[in-house]
Amino acid sequence: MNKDSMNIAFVASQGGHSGQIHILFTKKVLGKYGAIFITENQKVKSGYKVKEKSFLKKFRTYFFPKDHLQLYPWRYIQETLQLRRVFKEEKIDCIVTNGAQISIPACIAARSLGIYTVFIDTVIRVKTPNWSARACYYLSHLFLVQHQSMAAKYGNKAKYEGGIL
Amino acid sequence: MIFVAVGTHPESFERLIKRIDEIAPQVKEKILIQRGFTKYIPKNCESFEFADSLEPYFKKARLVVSQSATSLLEFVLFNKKPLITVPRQKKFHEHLNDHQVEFAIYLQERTGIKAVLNIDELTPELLNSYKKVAKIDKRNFSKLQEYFKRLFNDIAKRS
Repeated sequence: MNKDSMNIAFVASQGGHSGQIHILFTKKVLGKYGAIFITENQKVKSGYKVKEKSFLKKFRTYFFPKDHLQLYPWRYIQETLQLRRVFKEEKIDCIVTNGAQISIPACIAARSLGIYTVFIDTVIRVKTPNWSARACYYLSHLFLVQHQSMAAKYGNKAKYEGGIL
Repeated sequence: MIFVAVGTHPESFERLIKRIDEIAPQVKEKILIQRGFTKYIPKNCESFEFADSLEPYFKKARLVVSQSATSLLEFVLFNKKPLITVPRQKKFHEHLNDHQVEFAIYLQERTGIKAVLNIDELTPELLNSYKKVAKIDKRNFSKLQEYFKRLFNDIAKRS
């Protein structure tokens, strides 16, 4: 079925990961498609908060608690279920994630709904693969790296199609 | 004005701030430091902990000296201003790992932006004379954006 509309969820933790999403996905790149942005914020202690018209000054941003997954592994399950609900409600067709930890429950949630899952590795890693990317290598449909030399470090599935720098 | 930034990472970056404070009397310009979670308060120049955005300070500065964080990417891509980066290092307990070292060296090789790995290289002479503006080749960046445009169209057709 061909359709013109599509909703994309961009997922990235706070700081440099979010920054890369903002740099890459301008209005021009997004074109006619709808989007939401999912990130983390230290002010959110449980569940998630929503801010309207914040991503590209047009789309919703969802804020999940920051850095809480490492300390409490069972929260991966909780967060996967919450993200699953968000993806369903927002009628998401595709997710694009840049890491770090939040990309793991996001990829699992997306896969469980049959949503096309894209992981793009961080530009800051030039030599050494990082662990959240390694996990997402197996969880994503499409796995992109931002440096040609990094592709071989992850495996055959890793593709290089350009990078921020 | 020379603006020095260490960001919001919870570990201290005293090595950089102390060094700047030490050399500040011999630097001709005013220095302003964003010191984040670093406890050391410089005596020879002004400083503050955090700001909602460092953008206005980047704009006002003649030269920026910063930790080698990914948050600099936007600055690197779009600002035409001299930049020196000093990576946080694991051995000094400034970060969990050495990804900033990796990034700083990459930036230097790719764009010519100076990376200071040994803090002694940060001299008053360097700050006084550093005027080099990095030339950024944005071809890989445009290539990736074009790739995503095509990818989104393909997925829309498929879904």
